[in-house]
Amino acid sequence: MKDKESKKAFENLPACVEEYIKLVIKKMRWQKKVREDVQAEFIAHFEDALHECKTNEEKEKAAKELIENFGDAELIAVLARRAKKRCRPLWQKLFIRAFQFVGIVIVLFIVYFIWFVSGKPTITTNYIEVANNLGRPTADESQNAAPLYELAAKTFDQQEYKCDSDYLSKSFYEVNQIDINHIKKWINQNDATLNLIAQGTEKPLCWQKIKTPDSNDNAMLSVILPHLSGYRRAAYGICWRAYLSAQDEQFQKALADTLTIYKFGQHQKGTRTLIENLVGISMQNKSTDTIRTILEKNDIPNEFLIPFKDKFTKIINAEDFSIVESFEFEKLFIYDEIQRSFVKSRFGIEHIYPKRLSVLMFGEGGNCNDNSRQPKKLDSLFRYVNLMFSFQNSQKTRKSVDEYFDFWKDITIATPHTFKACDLNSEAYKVIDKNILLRLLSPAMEKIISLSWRNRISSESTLTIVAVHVFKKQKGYLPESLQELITSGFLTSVPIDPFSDKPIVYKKRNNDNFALYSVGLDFDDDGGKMEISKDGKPDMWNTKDGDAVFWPVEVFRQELVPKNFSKS
Amino acid sequence: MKFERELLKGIAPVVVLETLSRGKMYGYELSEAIEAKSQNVLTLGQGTLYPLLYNLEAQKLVTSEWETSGSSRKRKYYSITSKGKERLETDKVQLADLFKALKLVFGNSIVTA
Repeated sequence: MKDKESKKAFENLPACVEEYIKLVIKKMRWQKKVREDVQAEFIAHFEDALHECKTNEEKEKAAKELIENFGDAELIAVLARRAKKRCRPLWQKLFIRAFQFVGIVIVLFIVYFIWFVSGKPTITTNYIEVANNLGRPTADESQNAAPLYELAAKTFDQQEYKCDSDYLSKSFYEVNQIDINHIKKWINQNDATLNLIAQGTEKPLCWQKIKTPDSNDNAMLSVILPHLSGYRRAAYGICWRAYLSAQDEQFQKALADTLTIYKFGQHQKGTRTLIENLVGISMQNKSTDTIRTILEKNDIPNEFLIPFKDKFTKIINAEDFSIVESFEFEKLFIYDEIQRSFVKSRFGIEHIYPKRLSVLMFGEGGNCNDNSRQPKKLDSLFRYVNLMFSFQNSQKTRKSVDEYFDFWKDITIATPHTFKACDLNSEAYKVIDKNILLRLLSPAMEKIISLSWRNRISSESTLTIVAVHVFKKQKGYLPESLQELITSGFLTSVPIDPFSDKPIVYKKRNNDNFALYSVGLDFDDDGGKMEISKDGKPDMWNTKDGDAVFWPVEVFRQELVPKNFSKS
Repeated sequence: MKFERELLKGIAPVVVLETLSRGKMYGYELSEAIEAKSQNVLTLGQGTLYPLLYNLEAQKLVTSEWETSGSSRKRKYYSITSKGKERLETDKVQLADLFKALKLVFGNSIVTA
């Protein structure tokens, strides 16, 4: 059909003209409609030019001259195409340009995506080994407490009587006689094991190798610390043993147990993981809490208190409350993750390894058991695209990690009161900037540092409370001020409250009662009154209001709880 | 007489616009008219005439329309637009200035009409 129409269009023209016009039209390579239009115009032109020729020979000759006059077919086609392109309306031009632009962007995106998902990171350093070397002091294995602790933790795991966790973690003020009976049963069963812990605390050092459950996997993030749950149980158990011993007036044993927990906590701190350091702090807090409770509930003679005070003073004086040492260890976790999260391409250009980042963001295989962390599809897509265009590299990330930890190292030197007007997390985030890896892995440093300061003031305050008790027993009255304790030789120095940068507050209420407190996380002296938490319990470290009252322990707390408060 | 292509290139649009200013014409008619008017001096390559017309159309200086003539043949007629007329006037002034300048440069060795 098309051929017929074409033949009809060229029926009055010689074959050479048909061939020439068709060549021009073919070379135009433009829209069909436009080409048909140009063809019709050219046909009309040649027909007009040749209509006076009478014979075919004449026509043929004239046609050849005309074609020569028209010029090179390809040149005409190019010129015609260019001119016709200019004839397009503006909206069409814009649309085509936009379409071309989007096309180019899509092609570039696909190329970039293929590059982005290709390649695998090269693991060059075994950071588990580095970490274990870092945490290993130059000392003989016989000085290491860890084997005894591990043995104790394993023994707990092998026992049939597992009801300990519910009872042991209860506060001294929350238990009834049934609970006490369970706890006593547990302590009796585990007495020898708890003594292993006590033996361990006699050792000067503690170091433990970190390892992964799978020997083929040497990723720092796969490191598990299964012994910590056993340690926690041991700490609670020894605290309860101390409390119950004191009830039975076995004060020496009771006080010795409290120091065992304190030293046990001390052994978990230092150049170790941040988690272990936090567990250590928690143990020490539990220890000081137990000491204060025992002091309040029992009338302990000075023959027990004085040697205890001396031992406790020595321990506290030797204690490094700062958690800076754990920073170097913690950095290794992120260094290891850096080497697992970047791929170096042929030309030395790096890109993020999205598979690893997905695991970090959403859990193994991109699936996370925690529903709150499970991203929506659109959100994951956005995060993925964000990763693609974050343009980060390992060196820059490592530098940010060092800067981040250096920033917090500087913070640990000064007290929380120094920075009370600063938004430290925002400042730290400036260091992190857009570093996705660091954002994912950076611990809540402000809180961790605050915990170390709380531990310090809690320990020093507890020692001060012991000194006040020794003073009262010896003199028969309470000191007027903490300075009196120093001048009498009962205390070497007055603790400085890191939340006020002033001496800890001591208030003598009458001949028998006194209060000792830190102004707490709100940095304000509320007269020694603690804030009540939502569940009706006294909240020692409330960020909004109240003080951290170390003494009195129970009576004062009960006064705080509203009478109409229901525990349900 | 054949002109150098480059020499003719600049004035070809003005010539086309001037010719169309006398009435609408189709391609062949236009090329014939230019040749006749210029006494066969200005012979635009017929092939380049059409790209030139398409360019003028893109600039909206001319418009085109298919019409059927008395011989029942369809032809595409080009006519000058008001914008084309304005451009023609401007170009004419410029050409006049150019000729004056050329005369000054070449003196009597160049003869103008």
